[in-house]
This record gives sequence, C-alpha cells and structure tokens, in this order.
Amino acid sequence: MDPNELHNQVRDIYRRVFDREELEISDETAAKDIPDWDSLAQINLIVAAEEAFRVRFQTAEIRALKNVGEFKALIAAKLGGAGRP
Amino acid sequence: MSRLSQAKALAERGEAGAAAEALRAGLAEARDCVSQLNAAKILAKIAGHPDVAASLHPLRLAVLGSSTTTQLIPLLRLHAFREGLNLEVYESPFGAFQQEILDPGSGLYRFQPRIALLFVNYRDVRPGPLEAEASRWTGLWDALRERARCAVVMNNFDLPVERPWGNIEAKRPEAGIGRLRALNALLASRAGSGMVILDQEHLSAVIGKERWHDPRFWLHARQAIALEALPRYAAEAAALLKALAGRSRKVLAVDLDDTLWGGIVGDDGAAGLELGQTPAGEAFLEFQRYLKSLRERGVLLAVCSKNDPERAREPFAARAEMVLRLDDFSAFEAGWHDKAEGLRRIARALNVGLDAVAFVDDSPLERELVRRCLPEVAVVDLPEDPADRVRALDSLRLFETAGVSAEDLGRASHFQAESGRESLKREAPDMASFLRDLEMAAEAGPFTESDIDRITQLINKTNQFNLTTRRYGTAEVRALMRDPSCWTLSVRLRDRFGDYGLISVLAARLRGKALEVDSWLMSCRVFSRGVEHLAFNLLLEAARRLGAAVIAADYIPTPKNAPARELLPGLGFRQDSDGRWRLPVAEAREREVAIRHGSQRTA
Repeated sequence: MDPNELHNQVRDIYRRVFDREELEISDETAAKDIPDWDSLAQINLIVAAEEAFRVRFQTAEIRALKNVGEFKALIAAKLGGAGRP
Repeated sequence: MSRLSQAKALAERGEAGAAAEALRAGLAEARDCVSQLNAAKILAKIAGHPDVAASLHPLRLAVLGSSTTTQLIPLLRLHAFREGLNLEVYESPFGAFQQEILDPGSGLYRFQPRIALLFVNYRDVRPGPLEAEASRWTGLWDALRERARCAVVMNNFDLPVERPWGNIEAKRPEAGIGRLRALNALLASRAGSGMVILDQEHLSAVIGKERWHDPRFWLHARQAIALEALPRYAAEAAALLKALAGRSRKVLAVDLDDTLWGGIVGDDGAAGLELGQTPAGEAFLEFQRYLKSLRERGVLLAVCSKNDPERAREPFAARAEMVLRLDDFSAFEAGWHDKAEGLRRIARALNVGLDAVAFVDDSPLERELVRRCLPEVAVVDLPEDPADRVRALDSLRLFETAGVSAEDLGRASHFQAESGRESLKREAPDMASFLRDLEMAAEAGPFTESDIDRITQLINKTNQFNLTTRRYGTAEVRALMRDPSCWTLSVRLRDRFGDYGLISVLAARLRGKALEVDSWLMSCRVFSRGVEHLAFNLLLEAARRLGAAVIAADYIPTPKNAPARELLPGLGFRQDSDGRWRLPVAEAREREVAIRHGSQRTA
C-alpha cells in the first residue's frame, strides 16, 4: 500500500476512534499527545484497524505500540511489507 | 452531513433537545462498536439536560460485572435511550460483584437500583457438584432481591469455543459444555418471578462463538465479549430493561401490498398476488407465519394500508394460501389517508399509546413519514428481499417480555401513565416539511419516442390513480404524441431514496377554447407527494399558453380507481350537469409543490 494512503487510512481510524474529524497525526504522535488514548481506546484502535485492513494483531503486539509510526509499520508489515516507512 | 454528526454539533452547541432527536434518528447509522461508543458520547453530553430527561423514562440500573463493563455501560445507555429509557447506572467495582451483593452496606444497596444486571460469563463457573454451583448463584439472586427489592437480570453462561473432551462433553454433565448446559437449564428452571435470564448462549451462537470470544482482548482487558459483539448484548439487555419497565411494544401494524403479499391488490387483483408457489411468494407466507406466532403469544396485529377498504380485504377470503385471517387482526385501517393518521386510528381503537405500536412497511417513504410524524412509533426497516424480513423484524426484540408482573417493579404503572401523556404531545404531522426533506426532483415534458414503451406500459397497467382508465397501444400513443392539437406530459421523479423513473402521464386535446383531458394517471408508488399538483400546474400553464378558456376532464369510476376520485374537486374543478368536470382557466391557481422541477424536455 502506498505510504500516503496508509497514513490517510490510519488517520481516519484515529479520527473515528477519538471522534475528532479534524485530528491530524504524525509518526511521532504518541498516547501522551491524545488525551483519550488510554488502554481501552488502544483496543478500539486495534479493532478498527483489523476491520479496515483485514489484518490480525497478535496479543503481544497490542500493547507494544509506542506511537503512530510503529502502528503504521506494523500494519504495513502485515499487509506484505509495502509502504514500510 | 450524517445525522450523528448533526447530533454531535447540536450537543456541542448546547441544543440538547434537538441533539437528542438527531441522535435518535441517526442511531441506525451507528452499526459497529466504535461508532456506537461515539454515539454514546453524544448521549452522555445531553442525557442530563432537562429537555432530554423529560422525554425519557428514568431507570436506576446496577451493573454487576465479573469482567470489564467500561464499554458495556455506555452501550447499554445508548440502547436504552433508543428504547425511551434514561439509565442512571451504578457500576460495581471491578471484580467485586459478589462482595457487593453479599455486603448489605455496599454501594450497590445505597444506590437502590430498580433493576440489577448480572454480567457474567462461563469463566465464573466453579468446579464441584452441579447442585452446589446452582445454589451459589441462586443464593446471590436471593440476597440481591431481598436487600435491594429490585428485579434481577442475569445472562446465562456462554458455551466456549474450545472443548478439551471433544464431542463427549455434550453427554457428560460433569465438565465442559455439558456441565454448562446443565447449569443453564437448572438456573432457568429456578428463575422465578422477578428474575430474568438473558439468553447470552443463544446470542453468542447467533453471532458465532469465534467472533463472540476473542481471547486476546480477554487477556488484555478482561473483555468477556469481543467488542464487535458487545452491541448485540447491549441491545438485548436494553430490550429486557424495556420489558421490565412495562414498555414493550404491544401492537404490530403492518402494510399489505408487498409486505403481507407480493404485488398490489388494487392493480393485480387478489388472484394475481404472489403468495406461496414461487420462492419469493413462500417468503411472504413465512413472514405471515411469524406474525401469526406473535399473535399467538399476545401481540396485537393491525393492518395499516393505503388501499380501497373492500379490495384490501379480498385476498383474505379469496386466497386459500393466506396464513393470516381477517380475525387475526385487532384493527384494520385501509383507506387513502396517510399512514400516520392510520396508526393514530389504530392506537385509539386499541386503546394503547403510540409508543406501544410498531410499524412494518416495505416502502422507505412511508417509513420515513411515520418516523417523522410519529417518533414514538417503532418503525421496522424491512429489507427489500422478503426472505430477509422475518429475521430483520425478530432481531429488533420489539415485543420482549420479562415474564414478570409489572408489580415486581413497583413503579411500572407510573411509567405507563407517563407514556400515555407523552404520546399526546406530537399529534400534528408536518407534512410540508416532510415532503421538502425528501428532496424530490422531477423531469417533466412532452412524450418522446424513447419513452413510448414505458408510457404505453403505464397507461395499460395503472388502475388506481387513473381518471379515465383509457388503454392505448404503442401506435395510439405515438399518434397522440404527433397530433398537433394534443398536449402530452410525462413525469419522471426521483428523491433521496431513489429514482422512480417515469411515473405519471397526462394527455389533453385542445378543442376550441377547451383543453380536454383525455388521460391522466400516476403510479401508486408516488401517491401523496404532490406529483399530481405538479402535473396540474403544467397543465394550467399549457392551457394559458394555448389560449384555452377552460380545462375539462372526466372521472370515469371503475372498481379500482377510487384514489383518483378526489383529484378534480380538490383542484377546484366543478362538475356540470353533463357529468363533466370543468375549471375556468381564469379562476385556476397553481398548487404549491415540494418538487424541484428540472429541465422541460423537448420532444
């Protein structure tokens, strides 16, 4: 998947999960930057990404995400490596 | 802009009442868990506002969970809101639901719930003798009911996906799913009055156990039910809360044409209706069988149909395949008034509030009208395919009963009195704004060669809204089109529900100073939307342009064309002694229409 497209789709997931239509994210965006990004929101992000990209995260991967960049890299790897930053 | 975005914007602006309405209208948009959690956030903003609270029935609910209830509670609030309930919720501390029940001084009892929901799962079941385990649970119920004097809902145990013993578990009540099944049966048999079992085992099977249970989220967050399945549990629980509050629906009002049977009795006749024989015809019978089962368990059935009252009854006598008989219906409203009026009459006749009525109709337009005019009525979104309809109706759990008497709740009668007042509030349907919101657009112009086949078909098929019921073949239609003394009009219509295609035809001939209507007809799919007024305005414009002093028309009654009877007098035509209706052009005035009228096509 094209990196821009991946970024936009991931951004849309964040917008949906946090219910903020204007939300912008960068690879460095981390939980401390989004007030509602708690452990339950984390699960919502995972579920939404699994649905959007038709991928499955492993249990250990669910909590290991440091920031958006890592989330994107993980999705890209599951999609077959293309689009890895 | 979706209705949910509207609701969010309104809630942020502090317009709580309007936000609640938009939220209610937009609930169907929120299908998945994340969208529903977002919708629940909107509700959380407005639920405390007096305008919103006044339109809902307050209910104190204690949620006693053995696993995480953080996501469940907002979903419960949302689904309860859909059912007209405003939940005030007590959430037991994580992992402590048994202590809360057993300690008379716990926060649970200080809260004084009307209903307690025990949210448990198969992992809570302990090994040991079955009888001892059953008593452990019934002991919790008894303590809870004695101390809180509330109704109790507990879900039964969901059978897990995994079976270490394999199929033999089914016949071994000592362990595994055999034991869970036996425990479920034992607890069900001991759930007396005031104790309701939510059949989680059935729900999880419906969704699929591999989707219901996601071990990853159990390990991470003690989510006993996967997020994608949780809304289903919340909806089921809300239906039971509604039943316990004495607010389940009592009446199911159904449309006839293309709902109870395939086809339109006014056009196709009783003998021409699709019932049985074909697969789709079978589906209509399945739907009738489901309604019959509802009837047998005490749901009142009513007919709400736009039809000639006599013709609407014919299929019940004429078609032996009909599962439902006339005496299965407690009310029968067939006529030409709009369906909101029909439903009001049904509610009056059966002496129930409109909030006890559910409505089933295949037409998205009628459903929208009823939603708009009578927001208290539950409107069922019937899928287009008749085979999918029983399931769609069933999944809404409209007629859920708790199996307990209303007295168990104490305040149930209070709820009922309140709801009676509530339903009197919004009686006047705002038809004009309803029609405007349909965003109708018409294309109208003279007959064209490319439309000849459709025009001919409509002329020969239309029975109901047809002034003269004159039938013409293609050659005759073409002759009308080419006749310089003839003025012809065909109308196409679309709205935000779809494109209806070419749905109305008018042909008139200029004779001296009179413009004489030869044919005027309209498909029954677009009744009551002002298409006839648009056609009339164009007819009047033509009369003026052609220098006619009078418009003349006949109404030739047939057994089927009652819907056209009021057209001419309604437009100001007067009947002369020769039986013909006339309207002097100088006296005529345009009708207001809510249809955007696009390009006048040229022949």
